[in-house]
Amino acid sequence: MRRRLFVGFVVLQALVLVGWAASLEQARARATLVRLEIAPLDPRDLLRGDYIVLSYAISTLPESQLVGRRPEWSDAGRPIYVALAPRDGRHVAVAASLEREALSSGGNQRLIVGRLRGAGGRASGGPRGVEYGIEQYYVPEGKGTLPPGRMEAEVALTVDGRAFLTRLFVDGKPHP
Amino acid sequence: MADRFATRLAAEVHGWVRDGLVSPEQAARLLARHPVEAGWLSRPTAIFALVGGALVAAGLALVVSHNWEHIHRWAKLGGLVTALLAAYLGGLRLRERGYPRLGDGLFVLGGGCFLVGIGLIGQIYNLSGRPADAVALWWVLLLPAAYALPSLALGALAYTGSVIWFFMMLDDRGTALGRAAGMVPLFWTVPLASLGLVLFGLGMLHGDRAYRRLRQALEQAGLVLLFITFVWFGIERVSWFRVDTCRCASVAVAGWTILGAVLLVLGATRLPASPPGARRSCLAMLLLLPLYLGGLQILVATGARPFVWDALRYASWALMFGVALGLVLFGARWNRISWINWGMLSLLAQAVARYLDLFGTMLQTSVLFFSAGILVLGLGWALERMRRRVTADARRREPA
Repeated sequence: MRRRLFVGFVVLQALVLVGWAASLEQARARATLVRLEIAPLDPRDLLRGDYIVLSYAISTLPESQLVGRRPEWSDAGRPIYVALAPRDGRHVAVAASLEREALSSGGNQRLIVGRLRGAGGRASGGPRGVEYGIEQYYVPEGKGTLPPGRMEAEVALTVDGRAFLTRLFVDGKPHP
Repeated sequence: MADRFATRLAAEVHGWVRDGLVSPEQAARLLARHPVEAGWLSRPTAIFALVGGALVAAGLALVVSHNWEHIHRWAKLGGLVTALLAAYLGGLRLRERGYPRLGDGLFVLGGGCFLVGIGLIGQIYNLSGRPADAVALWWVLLLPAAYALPSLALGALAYTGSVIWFFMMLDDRGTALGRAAGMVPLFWTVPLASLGLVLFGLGMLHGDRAYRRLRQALEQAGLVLLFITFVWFGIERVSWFRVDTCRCASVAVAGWTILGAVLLVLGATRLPASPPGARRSCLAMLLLLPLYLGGLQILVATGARPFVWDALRYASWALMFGVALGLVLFGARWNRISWINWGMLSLLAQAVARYLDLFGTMLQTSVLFFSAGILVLGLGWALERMRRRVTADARRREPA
């Protein structure tokens, strides 16, 4: 009995890995591809191990784009919904809100969901930094240094706003 | 040491029978009391198996990382899942054939493969979510497999994962615990003490049968956390608490303290029932700890005056002294050697901490170091004598 139970839990572990990968594969296959501008990076923070740490133009939201209630310090970690619209071949943030309903779903607009980053202490005011779960790009060993040029990320966006980082482009060419 | 003693006893006892010092029946009873649980070879084997398992897991991860470009993502995952299944099932086979420690090594390898698999998926799909969530997924699925057998190595791995997960949550401002720790520095120490309660309570809950080893490991981990955090509560002055930054409370911090209290109550039900009233007394003593932690949180929420904080600091001295002494006494009563050892160590640590606390600013540095050294040596000698006596008494009693 104990043996069967153990084997069952082991198989469950294997199934979780395979099932998780399959669900991500399916979500990515159905997603829409958009290009996002990568914000200038501090070279010292660029490479940590074998992945590149990325920051996006949409990683910091200006006050003017916030719709509805302003995020407070205690909102750190909460989801924030950001509306993206195409401009010059890329997608840029046009509005953001803590409530999904507050954003109008325009024809060519796409939704991306991030999480508010907690910054500093309580006195630092409300958080404006956002993490989308696409801030790390894994590269082959030793290829973490990006060449100079205009950097963009190709991101697959699912209907519900989940983002998958698929490729990096430097001056329009895929990297690495 | 215990194994060495048992091995020596087994060798000597035949001579005692031959010389007429003890009867064959008495020799048999002596050997039954101190059985040679494991040959000396089995310990190095266990260590080699565990280290070997961990190295093979690391090697697998490196093979994948070095050939990242050339391996299809499903091939990477497929290979890892195959390795995971092979390690677990191989461990099971070895265990059934009478090599439990080698089997445990393979279980650790299997558990490592599972963690590598979670990391691999994150890497393949460039996921950069909350790292604590990945660790949570790992230990939550590892734990049932550990209990199913049971396997001490897999259980220890899963519980280590849970403690790492807790620390990651505490360090992440995106979690409720992390936000609380960011509000008031004291909310870093209180959850750690609460985690100590949770581990200790969980340990007691394991009882004295198949999960006895897990009980010992969890109890000790819990006691270490509790003693470290309470020594800290005793040292911290009101200005260090920096509780004036806000009058706030955290449901997450309170939740962990309550969980700790609940587990202590549940765990106490697994303590030996004799002598009458001892179990209840032990529980009452242990419940003072969550009560103290709750008091700290209430004071943060209401904004207490400095003298109240000082009073609470002195209360922590008395509390920890009492709890450490209580653990030694209950440990002697119920033959729980780890309670005795940690209780003694805590008494020593507190005596030194209090000495430095009281005389640290009054004496010259050289005199302070010299006298503190003498104090540690003297106290250490006295407590070790006491520990040996209490431990011997405990061993003489039948385990309840």
